[in-house]
Amino acid sequence: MKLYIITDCDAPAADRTGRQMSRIKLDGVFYSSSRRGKATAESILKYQNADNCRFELLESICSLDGEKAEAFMGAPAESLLSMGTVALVVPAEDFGQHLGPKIMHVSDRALSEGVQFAAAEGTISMFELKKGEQVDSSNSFVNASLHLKVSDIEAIKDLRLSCE
Amino acid sequence: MYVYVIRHGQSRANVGDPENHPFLPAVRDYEEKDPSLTDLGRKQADLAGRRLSGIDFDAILCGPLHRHLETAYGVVRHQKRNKEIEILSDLTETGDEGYGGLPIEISQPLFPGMKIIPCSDPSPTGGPGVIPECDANPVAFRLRGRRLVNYIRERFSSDSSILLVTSCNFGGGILMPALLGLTDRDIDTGKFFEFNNTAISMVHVKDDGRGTAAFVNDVTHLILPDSENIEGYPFSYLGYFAPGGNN
Repeated sequence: MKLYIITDCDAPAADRTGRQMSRIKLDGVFYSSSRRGKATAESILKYQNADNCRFELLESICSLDGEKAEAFMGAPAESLLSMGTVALVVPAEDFGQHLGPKIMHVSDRALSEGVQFAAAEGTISMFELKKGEQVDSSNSFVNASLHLKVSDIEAIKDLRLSCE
Repeated sequence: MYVYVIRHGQSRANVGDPENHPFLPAVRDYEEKDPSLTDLGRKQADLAGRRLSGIDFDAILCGPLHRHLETAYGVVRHQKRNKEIEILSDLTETGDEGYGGLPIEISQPLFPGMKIIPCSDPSPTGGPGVIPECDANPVAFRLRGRRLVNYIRERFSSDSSILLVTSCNFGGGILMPALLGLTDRDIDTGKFFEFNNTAISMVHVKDDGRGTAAFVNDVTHLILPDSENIEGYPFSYLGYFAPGGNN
């Protein structure tokens, strides 16, 4: 079960992110009510097969804080992931300060002391989740961003490379 | 302080596993204690070196294993100024504590143009051939991680950029949490991240010891054609800090 998290961004970066994500067949794209959330999500959807990809505002990822991120990791996340491979579009700060660390089971104490992921816009992170909210840490990455700078974005075949 | 962490390229002990996971018993080959990189692993190291070429590292600290040195070589060849690595035995893989790597007089001739020196400080981290003062158990692993982070925090200034060359389990599971300032109580799972071959991660370690992970387990440098400019990170897009970057 793969959970992609896209941080919302301006239009040029969102288009690049959408093109990068076109390599991955998504069963759903869910966005928060942030200023650029829907527009960024639409850029992701544009490169998917819209007939087979749910596209919705998701209340449980709107205005995330620690408590809400914790709550999301329960039933809402399980429900989403039962759909298959999904992408969430959230503000960079929400991901870096709340959602990302929660997925990696960083404690509230550490979060309150400032541990976080960087708030970087237009990035792609992926967490491969197993039953019981465990993360397959060998298949996960945070804030991949090369798609934002290369000239030939089509050349990026996948975000997680094997050795071939 | 901006701490980049890179895992070594594909080693001969990694070959044969389609998921590139080096710790499946079926593929781990300890007939040779200190396996070298495969041709692909050297290519991966070269690509990682290109990716990091815009960052002028104040120091490159390298684990003692041959695969660490070969990976560092891939990076150093693309560095414009720094052609020197320091060996820190504390950067070795978990479970490999009983082996300190090749003596410099044997390893140095294998890497022309890259100067290999032992860690210059009388620290507990040791140099080549020195077995880390550490037992092979999870508690000791975490102590080693914190010891290493304390060492680099004491040695380097807050605006320094340094590269640590290490392995999968120690780098992702032990070193990353230590760089972020996480304690045993802060993570209720057994592991944090595991790194893919030549995965690059970066943590901004603040003066108070807490860290922000800028990116983790990034291997996108491995998937572009040679014609692409893969140097650097698009920090200007991100509105994030650009320590010594070219963008």
